[in-house]
Amino acid sequence: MAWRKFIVPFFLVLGAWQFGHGAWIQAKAVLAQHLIASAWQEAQQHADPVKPWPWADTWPVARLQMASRGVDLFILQGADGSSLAFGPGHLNGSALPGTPGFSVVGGHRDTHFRFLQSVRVGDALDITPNRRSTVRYRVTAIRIVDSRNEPLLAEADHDQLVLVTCYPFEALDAGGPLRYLVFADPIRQPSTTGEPDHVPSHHTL
Amino acid sequence: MTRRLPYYRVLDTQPPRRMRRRSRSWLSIAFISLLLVVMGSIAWQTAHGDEADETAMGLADAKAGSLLIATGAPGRYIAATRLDSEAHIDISGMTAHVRVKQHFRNDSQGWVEGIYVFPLTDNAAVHRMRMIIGERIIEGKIQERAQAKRTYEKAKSEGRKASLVEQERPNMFTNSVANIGPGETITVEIEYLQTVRFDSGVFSLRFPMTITPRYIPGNSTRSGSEESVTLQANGHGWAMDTDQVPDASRITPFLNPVAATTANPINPITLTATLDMGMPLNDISSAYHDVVLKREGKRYQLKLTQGSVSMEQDFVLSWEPAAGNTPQAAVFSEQRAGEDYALLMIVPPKPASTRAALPREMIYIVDTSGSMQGVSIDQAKQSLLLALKGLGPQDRFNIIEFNSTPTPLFTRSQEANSQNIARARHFTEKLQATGGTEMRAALELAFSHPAEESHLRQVVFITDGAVGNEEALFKLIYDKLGSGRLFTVGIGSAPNSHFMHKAAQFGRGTFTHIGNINEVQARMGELLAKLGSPVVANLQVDWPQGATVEMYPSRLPDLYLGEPVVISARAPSLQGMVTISGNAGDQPWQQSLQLRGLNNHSGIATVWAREKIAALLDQKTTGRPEQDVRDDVLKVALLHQLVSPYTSFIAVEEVVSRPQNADLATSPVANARPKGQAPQPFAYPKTATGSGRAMGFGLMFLWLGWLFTRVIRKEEEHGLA
Repeated sequence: MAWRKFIVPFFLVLGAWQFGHGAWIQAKAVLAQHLIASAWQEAQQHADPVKPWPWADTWPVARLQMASRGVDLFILQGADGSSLAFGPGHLNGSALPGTPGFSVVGGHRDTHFRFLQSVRVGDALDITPNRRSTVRYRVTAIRIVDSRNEPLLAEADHDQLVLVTCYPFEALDAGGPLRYLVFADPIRQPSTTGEPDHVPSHHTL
Repeated sequence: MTRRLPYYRVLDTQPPRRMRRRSRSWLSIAFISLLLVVMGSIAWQTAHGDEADETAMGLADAKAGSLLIATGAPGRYIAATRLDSEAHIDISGMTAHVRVKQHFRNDSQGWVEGIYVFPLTDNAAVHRMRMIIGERIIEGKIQERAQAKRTYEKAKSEGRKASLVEQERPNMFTNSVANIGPGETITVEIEYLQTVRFDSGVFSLRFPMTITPRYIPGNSTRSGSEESVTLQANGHGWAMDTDQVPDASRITPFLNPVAATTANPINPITLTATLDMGMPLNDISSAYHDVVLKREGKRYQLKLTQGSVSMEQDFVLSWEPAAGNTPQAAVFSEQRAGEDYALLMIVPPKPASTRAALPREMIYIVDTSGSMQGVSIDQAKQSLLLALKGLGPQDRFNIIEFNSTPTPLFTRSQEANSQNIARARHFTEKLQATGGTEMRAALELAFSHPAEESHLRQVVFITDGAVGNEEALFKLIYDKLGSGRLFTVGIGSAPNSHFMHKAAQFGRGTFTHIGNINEVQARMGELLAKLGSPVVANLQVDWPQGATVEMYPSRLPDLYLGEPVVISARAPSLQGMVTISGNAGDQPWQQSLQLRGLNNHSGIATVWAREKIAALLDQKTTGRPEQDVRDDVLKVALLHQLVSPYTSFIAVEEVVSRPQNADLATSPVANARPKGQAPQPFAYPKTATGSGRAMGFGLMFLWLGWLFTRVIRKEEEHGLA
């Protein structure tokens, strides 16, 4: 019968396509961070940020490290889909991570920010903004919010970093309304030295 | 060719033994297929469930407000364009002429396009714009909006300096300034006319300074998956465009994350004013800023004590005529292009009634959304507590608090007895501000029970008006309010006055502003007096015989205690007597005025044109198709050279200043955070990929393929056997 000829290739192709698509997202997330790492190194010698690959519309702005969890990630400019595919992204309009103000960094729950599920209050993490010294943060609170009801607002009157990812971590579907928020406060006063001409302390627009 | 299953394979409980193995394979395929269908429908449902969620959701869960710097070469952080402003307000009679200078300074090493979304008073008639580059002055021209945008984009890409002033809302504008060179400053001067408010013997004027972040309801309309988002938002705001607010990205400018201090001012402005009412004045006061006042005869000059301040709270000036000088009527006129224009103001007598007032049904709607956090929620609570004191024993009442969802105090209005009022006070005292601003649901709840004939329904709406879907709400009020009346109380340092004004207009009520906890007592007192007094109704205007007069508002609304009749009129010739009549309470009242006074007051024609545009735009709410409204607005706006939703000011310099090899970066100006209010909300990023689902489905399909391979192979084996 005719359908028998096609049913097997149909499912195999469909399966390979879907699986490949998913695997590609995962692979891209890992591979990109390596390319970004070299862009980051290069950026340390230049005044201008360096794009990790020529057609990229994003570039690394800070490094996030959490030694206790083996995490070493480069935070990209913009928390848009086009950045988040390759790394955690800094939300425009919020303060640059590691500088004074309220900073927001988003990351995909099923790639770079999967590790947030194992983060606990009291854990330490380090942020190194481009061409500045490292700032150590301590996790002060973890909350799950419904993004439909609760706006993302700077709650504290002091400097604060919030890492945002989707929740629940194992949900099948992307695009749910829940968010997992990890709040962290700098332990030392964030550095304001460096080159304010290129990295203004509070303007990231 | 389809092949049906032989009946025995499905129905026979004991098929021939030879068949059993094959049927088991078929059964498992049927089972898998069923599973697939179920999973597919779950996936479909979750996807659609999400859509429903997003409709209800607020601050655009959508992707982050993206502000990728628009250079072709590797982007870089550049210092945001610095903005300094100057404003001079020249008040004369019932009108004020305001000149605002915006200095855009580029401190970076590269070329910059500055974009500033700024507020103006909601009845501003923007009639002049100039771009000033050092000594050079380029006069702006009014063009149809799309054409002006094209002119601007062309100049921008060619490297010419250009400025484009567009209207997003009657009280919100965007100024885009292209090709500001390294270290350069470009100044854009904007001039507008407005009428001043006169209420209960006090004149007042508001100069807005910043924009309280608007709540954006609806479903993000930006296409693309997380993997391939196209960066083509219309504007540069923190919200994405949605189905309910298609221009959301244009009306949600970022707020400066740092709160302003005296040492570190945000968007500093110097403000001066001259006040010439042609009469001695009393009590000139600025509600929220310290000012220095100087008098020269009947002319007053005013400036900020501090010289310059951060643009974090609206500037509100009010003044009273000295005792015995309170105007009862005034006419200002202007001749332009062979036509006469007039602005009339008449104060009716205090409305009085001999009959007992109808008992009232008061519905208080109070906004407890996130944007009310800080000083605003305290002002709202105090206002509400005061309003509860105004209830009489014959009245009925209810309170609806709302953020993402409305919560009523009672399921329907209850008697205003001491027990119910005690419950209401308790309810009010524990209100907290958090969540979205779903006004629609709150208003629908308020209107859900029809008003009773025995009671006059008055809805008091306490809010900062920080929403992006104003027009839809006006329409809801217009369609659903019925015989009731709606009053707005604008709260906070930078309320959306356009919303307050128009919601009250469509609600046939009046509006009040409260910007400070100390004002609650006085302002609410005035509002309660208005609510409790009879109105001046059935107002009619009799123009001189033979005059064909076009006047706005075309139908005079009922007036509350202390409100004057204000009319803008145009006719080929306005001479003779005009008579206004009506009922002040149950007292008939009539007054005549001599037209064509001695004054020839510049700007009266512009004010008329602005009123006409407002009246035309109101027709969208009352059901006229937008295209028709647009055609009519265009005619007026082009003739009178006014900015409108469909016309913009554009100024372009002839010479090319930016070298072709230099890149241009877009740098939006952040607004100052409204004083004492919560900082700007951020849009939550979308933080999950579809990889898990894709891989899961992929594996399932592969498994199915493998199952079919086995089945087919077995069938073939059997076939061969």
